[in-house]
Amino acid sequence: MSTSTDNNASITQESGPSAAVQDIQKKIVVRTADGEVFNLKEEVAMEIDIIKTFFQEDSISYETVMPLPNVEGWEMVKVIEYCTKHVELKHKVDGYKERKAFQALFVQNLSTKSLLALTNTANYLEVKYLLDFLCQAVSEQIKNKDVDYVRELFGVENDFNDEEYEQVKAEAPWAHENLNNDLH
Amino acid sequence: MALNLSRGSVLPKYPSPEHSLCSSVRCSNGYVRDQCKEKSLDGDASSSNSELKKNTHYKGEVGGYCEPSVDDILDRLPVDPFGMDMRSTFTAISGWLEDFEKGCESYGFGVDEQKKKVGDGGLFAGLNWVWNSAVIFQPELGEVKFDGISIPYDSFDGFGINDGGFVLDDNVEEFLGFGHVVNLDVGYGAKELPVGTMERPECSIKNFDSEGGAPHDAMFYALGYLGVQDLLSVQRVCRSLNHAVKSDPLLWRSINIDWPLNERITDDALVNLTSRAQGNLQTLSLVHCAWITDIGLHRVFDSNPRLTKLSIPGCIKISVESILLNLRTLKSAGKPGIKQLRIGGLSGITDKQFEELKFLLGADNHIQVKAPKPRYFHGGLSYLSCDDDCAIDIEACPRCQRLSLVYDCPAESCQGKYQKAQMCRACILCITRCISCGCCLGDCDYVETFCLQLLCLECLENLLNCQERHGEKGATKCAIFCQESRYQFCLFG
Repeated sequence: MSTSTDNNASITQESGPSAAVQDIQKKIVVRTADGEVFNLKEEVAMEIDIIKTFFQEDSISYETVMPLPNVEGWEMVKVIEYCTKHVELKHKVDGYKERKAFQALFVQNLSTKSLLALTNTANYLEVKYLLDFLCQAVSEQIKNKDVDYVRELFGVENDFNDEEYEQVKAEAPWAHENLNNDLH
Repeated sequence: MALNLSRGSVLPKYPSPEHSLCSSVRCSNGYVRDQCKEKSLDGDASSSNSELKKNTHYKGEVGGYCEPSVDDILDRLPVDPFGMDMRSTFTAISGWLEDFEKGCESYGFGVDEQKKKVGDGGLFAGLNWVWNSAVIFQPELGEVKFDGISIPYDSFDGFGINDGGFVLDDNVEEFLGFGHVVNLDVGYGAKELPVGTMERPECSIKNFDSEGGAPHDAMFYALGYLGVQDLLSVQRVCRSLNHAVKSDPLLWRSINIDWPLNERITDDALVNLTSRAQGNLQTLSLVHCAWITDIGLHRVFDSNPRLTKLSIPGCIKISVESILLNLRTLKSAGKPGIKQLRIGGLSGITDKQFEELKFLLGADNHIQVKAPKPRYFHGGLSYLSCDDDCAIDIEACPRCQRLSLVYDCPAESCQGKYQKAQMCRACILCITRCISCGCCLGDCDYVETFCLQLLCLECLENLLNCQERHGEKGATKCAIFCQESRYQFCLFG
């Protein structure tokens, strides 16, 4: 059992007498598919509906380590990052710009493959606003791109046979004039 | 060396007088405002100038596959009302350049015919590429199209060609082909232009290990966030996506047809799209869909009785009478009917029709939960979206009493006036406004653009500052305006 050392956002210091005073928040512990363990602050953990349901509705003790078999360690890191920021901005009155800047950075270095995986994870973990944001990001990558580009970008195979494809093309030919690979 | 202009005159051909009677004006949002149509809407549309010939070339230029069934004014509009004769002008210039090059060769200067690539011959190679393509000018939002190659408006500066780098996708020989996007660089005097593949910093294209497989689940979640054009594109990707797009009614509950599809969508195409909702269509927005007729709209209503929001600004072939007919039908069938209607620039509505509309929409019973949002005049975005709570967008202008869109004033000097007589609130004909900020122009100086739009001096200054900062990312809030009007500044000098 190894503890993630990257996860500074959710780990508070546990040593020293002051820790007892500041450590009012309870911790929730989860384990991802690759064996990484994360200590989440309660308020962040409760943003993740699947965790919330597990602990609150089923009244399971917080000492239990919740398994998340469909989630990878790196995905959990990203989800925690987003939820922590969301909680932080909840209390701010005018956090719009900050949120936008954060969101831009969040997806900046994500490959398409990672983005898709993370979207799936957000759906599984039931974090609605994160799923919403990631779906937007995926749709941004699809917008205004032609068919071949989308296939290549998302690694999708063209499984139409020639006849079928002609039929598909004939369905709405008016919509497909002059589309290009990438306008940016 | 004599310049051979025999391929075609570069001088514009002026249309005969009768052709210039009904001219089209391109608004800042790129939509053509048919002046003739507006005048004749009170009467029969077909009674307009019958001397104008039907012009199929016009349809071709806007890329329409559509074949309108009614032979009316739209078909008879002249191709080139201002006599600018773009096509032959560019053909002529193309010819001129080729002749010039041939002339150059005969004197021993060099463009190697075999490798007519960019990077050789510097100036003329670059320019030749530009002019050799059939240029289709579509000064709507977004792009200039050179055959199949689409170039975003912000690649262009005054001359229409920017001074950024020339990046070629793939093979140089193929660069004139469709589907390749290039940033244009005339590269005056440059011998070599950089050639490289296009990379997007956010993600790399080939990031999947295998050749290709089934689409990732997440793609299906994202479908709900795509517009109509993208959905129609995605349905061609593979079988499962095709099935998902066509058979999921949730994706088609709210349909918005905007640029560029608005110019191409016909009645049949619209009915086909709306049928995908399987009777669950709730919101339909048709922005400047000039080919949609009363018949098409009627068919949509017939198969979608649960429609509650309808927005048809600029759909000039739809009459108020047909809307009333559809609303009456819904009401008599006991359906809830339309609750919010946006008719924007639809002219020719009488007071009686307006009253009946309000009645059928239940406007009098309609209790507005929130205070009505102020509506500001802003170029192509003048039409109030259905997000506002009100039942209908038009009202009687406080000044002239005509039924039209009435605008509030964002100017500070006009705030805080609560007396009706003082309020800066009227239709655009009564109070002229800046197309960018929507402020009234009564007390301040303003300029008139080539497209007959009015700009206050502050917005003009912002626009010019934006131009100076062209190329910087993170454009300011004047970006939207810049995109529209700046393009027109470029194009028309």
